[in-house]
Amino acid sequence: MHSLAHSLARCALANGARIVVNSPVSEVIIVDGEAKGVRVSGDSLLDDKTIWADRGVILNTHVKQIPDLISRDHVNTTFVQRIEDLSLKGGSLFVTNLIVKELPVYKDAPEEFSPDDYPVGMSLHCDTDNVMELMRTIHSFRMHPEHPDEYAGIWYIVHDQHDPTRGRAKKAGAEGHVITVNLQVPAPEYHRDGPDAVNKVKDEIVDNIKTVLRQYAPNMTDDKYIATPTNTPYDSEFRNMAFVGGNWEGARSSQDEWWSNKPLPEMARYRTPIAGLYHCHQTAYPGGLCLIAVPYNLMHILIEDYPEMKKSTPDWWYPSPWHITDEEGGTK
Amino acid sequence: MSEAAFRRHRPSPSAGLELPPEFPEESETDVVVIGAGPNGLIAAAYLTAAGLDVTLLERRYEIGGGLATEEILFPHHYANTHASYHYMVDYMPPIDDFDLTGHGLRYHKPFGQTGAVMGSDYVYLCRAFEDTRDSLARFGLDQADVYGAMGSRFRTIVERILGPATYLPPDAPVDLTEALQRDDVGRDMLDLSEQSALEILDRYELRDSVKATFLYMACQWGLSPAESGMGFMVPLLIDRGMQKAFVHGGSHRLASAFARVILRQGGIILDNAEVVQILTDGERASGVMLEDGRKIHARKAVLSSLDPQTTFLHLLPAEAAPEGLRESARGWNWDKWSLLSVFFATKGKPTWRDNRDNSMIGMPDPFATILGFEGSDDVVRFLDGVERGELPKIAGHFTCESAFDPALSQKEGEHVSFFQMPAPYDFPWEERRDDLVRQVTDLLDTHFGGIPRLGHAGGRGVAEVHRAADAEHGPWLDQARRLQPDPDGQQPPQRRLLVESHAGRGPVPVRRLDVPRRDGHRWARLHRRTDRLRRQRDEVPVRLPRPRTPVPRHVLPRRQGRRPARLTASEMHRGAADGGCHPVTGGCRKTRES
Ligand SMILES: Cc1cc2nc3c(=O)[nH]c(=O)nc-3n(C[C@H](O)[C@H](O)[C@H](O)COP(=O)(O)OP(=O)(O)OC[C@H]3O[C@@H](n4cnc5c(N)ncnc54)[C@H](O)[C@@H]3O)c2cc1C
Ligand SMILES: Cc1cc2nc3c(=O)[nH]c(=O)nc-3n(C[C@H](O)[C@H](O)[C@H](O)COP(=O)(O)OP(=O)(O)OC[C@H]3O[C@@H](n4cnc5c(N)ncnc54)[C@H](O)[C@@H]3O)c2cc1C
Repeated sequence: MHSLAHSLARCALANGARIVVNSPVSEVIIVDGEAKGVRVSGDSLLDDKTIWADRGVILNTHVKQIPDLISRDHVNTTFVQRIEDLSLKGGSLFVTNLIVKELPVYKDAPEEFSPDDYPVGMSLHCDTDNVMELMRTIHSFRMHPEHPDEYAGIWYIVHDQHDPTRGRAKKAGAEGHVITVNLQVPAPEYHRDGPDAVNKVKDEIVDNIKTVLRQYAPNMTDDKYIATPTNTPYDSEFRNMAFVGGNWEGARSSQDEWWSNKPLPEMARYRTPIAGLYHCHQTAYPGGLCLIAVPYNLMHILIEDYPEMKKSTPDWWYPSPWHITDEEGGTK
Repeated sequence: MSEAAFRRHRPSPSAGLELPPEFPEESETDVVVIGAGPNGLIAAAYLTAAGLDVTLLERRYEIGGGLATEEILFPHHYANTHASYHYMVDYMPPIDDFDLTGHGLRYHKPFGQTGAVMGSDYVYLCRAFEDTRDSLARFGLDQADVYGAMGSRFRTIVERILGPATYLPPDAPVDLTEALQRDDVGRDMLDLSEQSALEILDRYELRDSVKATFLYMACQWGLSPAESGMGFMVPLLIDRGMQKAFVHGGSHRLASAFARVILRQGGIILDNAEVVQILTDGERASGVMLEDGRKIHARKAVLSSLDPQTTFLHLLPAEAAPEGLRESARGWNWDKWSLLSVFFATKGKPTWRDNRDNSMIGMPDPFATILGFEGSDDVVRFLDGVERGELPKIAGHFTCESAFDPALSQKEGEHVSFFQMPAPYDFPWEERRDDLVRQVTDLLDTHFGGIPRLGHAGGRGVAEVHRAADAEHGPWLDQARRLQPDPDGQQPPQRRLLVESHAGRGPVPVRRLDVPRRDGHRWARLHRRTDRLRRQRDEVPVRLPRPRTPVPRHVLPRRQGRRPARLTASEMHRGAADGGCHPVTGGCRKTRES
């Protein structure tokens, strides 16, 4: 996936954008209720510099980060409270990469199901009752599954079968395959025993995953594992501050936080209570995954708000034929 | 006003009591509105907007009626003495029509909405549908499914019919039924209307604790569990009961917001102005007389926001009443029961003893917590007793308001809460008061780790604290007079929550609900409006007014150390000084000329 990021970055640079890394923004500067720039944190490459923005600021941060970036003088208390209330449930993943000497061979599997041709993603232990019970453990009792039997719907991806560029180890002469395993667990914020509860039992969870895998593929004995680098939701959040809750969907997909309520009703069209400040993250509509829908949709809104862009957008831009502008009654 | 003009107007010291009257003995206006509760205020706001001369009259020292927020306990502790849960904010057109959210009115809907300790279960319902399902799944996945089916059925009825229809004048029941029958959701609602709350809930296989919680939510404002014909109230009260909002800074802010609108539009509001008689001229109401004899004549109309009996039996002289009106007013029924409220000021927030199930630890506290019931039979027995005029036991709902709205307690760490329960209106309140407060305190003590006492009354129990408060600061035991005229003039007569606009029985007005077929556009507009309202409802961007000259960049506030830059108060006010409105209060700076 990172190649996609590279190509987009090249594209942006070619069109004249500037990209500065290692520069966490610590504050959006707001003047007269309008976003006028950002201040970059003191311990960054840019060293506490201010970047002024003539037209506006676009946030690619998780909605839960917004209250930390804008001074509360500019929004009212209910705005902050409602952001705090947004549910992060539903997609927090415990991710472990199993680096293994050989691929699993499934017992009782039909012949055509051979390691040379495994599908990209597979699920184990996946009957409806198991999955429902797991959801109940996570969402209702706010616990991670403790016993291997509860590990329903583990799903995993066999990488290097389909993308040999991933199998670096193999290239380097070592035997090895990478299998990424995802297991749902509660978001750190909701865990009954505190945000670091899953981190405390990281090794046990990996062992349980191995046990489940071995039930299906008896060849996966302990000696087949080279290493198991693992990210709990908490770790994901640590690596990318915008992965709040380590939720791969950003925030819960539920009817109260969906469509024109996503993430908050007044932000559904990517605008924020601050003029000139836009929100363009997977926590905005339509939501998670690398759909690239958020920035595309945002373009429509920006062209509405900055009519001069209409003149400067080259011929290649055409709005979605279904887009209803505010003026035409989309929201007014 | 010039200095000389000011001198001319200032009474000389010797004038003593001969101050010019604040309001003339006789005056004339287009419309007189009686009562400045929410209904009187909103009516006056619309009428002034329509360009009429309006005089709004309020008996108490302060407008607001049921929207009162008062320091009834101690100074700096505010309590909403009547309305605190606002159920219908997603639908209310006046808030949008007068752009109130643009003037500092803020609603907030807490995440945790209703909790109930029912026997040994802890039922927890949230604003978000899916989270409520998660919570009920603790009792079994079937409970989540049953709730899913019931909740979405109720929500559809409310969103499609009851919500929008609340804001349409009523139609004749015949037309209404006919219209409803043309639509699937309408037929479903008609079907529900025939059933009682108990019958409706019995159709779902809910665990008893969950059923009891919904039953209490459906009935706490005056519906009897076995009463049929009002079944449409059940989806409304249950669905909206999980969407309760409060006004930041106290319910009275809603009243003040409307008062500002009325004044800005040129209306007059008089407080301490009790209407004692409606004046008539032939068959027309022509004005009112106040307690002190002042008369206000109405060129166009007199609008009473009081109950029918006060209006037609007490204020309108018998000889002026058209035939049959008095009988009809006498036949109007008061609600079956009233509410007992006990307010508390405590040092610290009441904290759960945690006898609840541990998967609830750390969840946001619910806005309202139902306490004291064992299960659904218990709720039914209790309400039956209350309806017979008894107080079978202490059970009801509890809210620590300042935990959600910090503005209600201006003393760091101190909190205001109330406990409220259905109770008969006629009851030996004076004799039973101390005993009841003790029982309420005991009930709260079993659930919350001993409510810490308020500093003012150190060392004494909560009851004593409140006895002391009573002596020093007025009533703390408020026998709310829902649906009852108020003999001693302390509390406004209250009408039934949410049903007040259709006091008669029968289904709510919904004829226009088949609009989607005839006129899809209008229907869509209605939905869009609801959508927009919802968006604006709890959130207002605080836009600072632009100063006339842009601030040069180099004088912009610069962060010092790690503190983020904030605009100073004077910068915030600069816009106001330029003639704009205050960004938060919406108040306008008075210009020197006025
Ligand atoms: C475990 C996991 C597995 C996933 N698997 C898949 C998958 O298989 N397929 C799929 O399509 N999607 C997957 N996703 C989801 C996908 O990764 C996200 O939807 C996507 O990355 C969202 O893109 P974004 O641009 O909105 O936000 P992000 O990718 O989170 O980007 C936000 C960026 O902003 C930066 N940032 C944050 N705060 C600041 C600040 N103050 N100043 C400066 N920079 C800041 C962050 O460092 C980050 O680089 C997965 C997510 C997770 C957590
Ligand atoms: C204890 C209690 C709790 C409640 N809780 C809620 C709640 O949580 N949520 C909710 O939505 N609703 C609640 N209600 C109901 C709500 O308060 C009422 O429905 C609402 O106030 C009715 O508004 P109104 O304008 O019709 O009447 P009121 O608010 O009663 O206003 C009438 C006004 O007229 C004045 N008046 C009376 N007589 C005269 C006279 N002769 N001359 C001049 N003025 C006069 C009164 O002083 C009063 O200010 C509650 C009611 C009570 C009693």
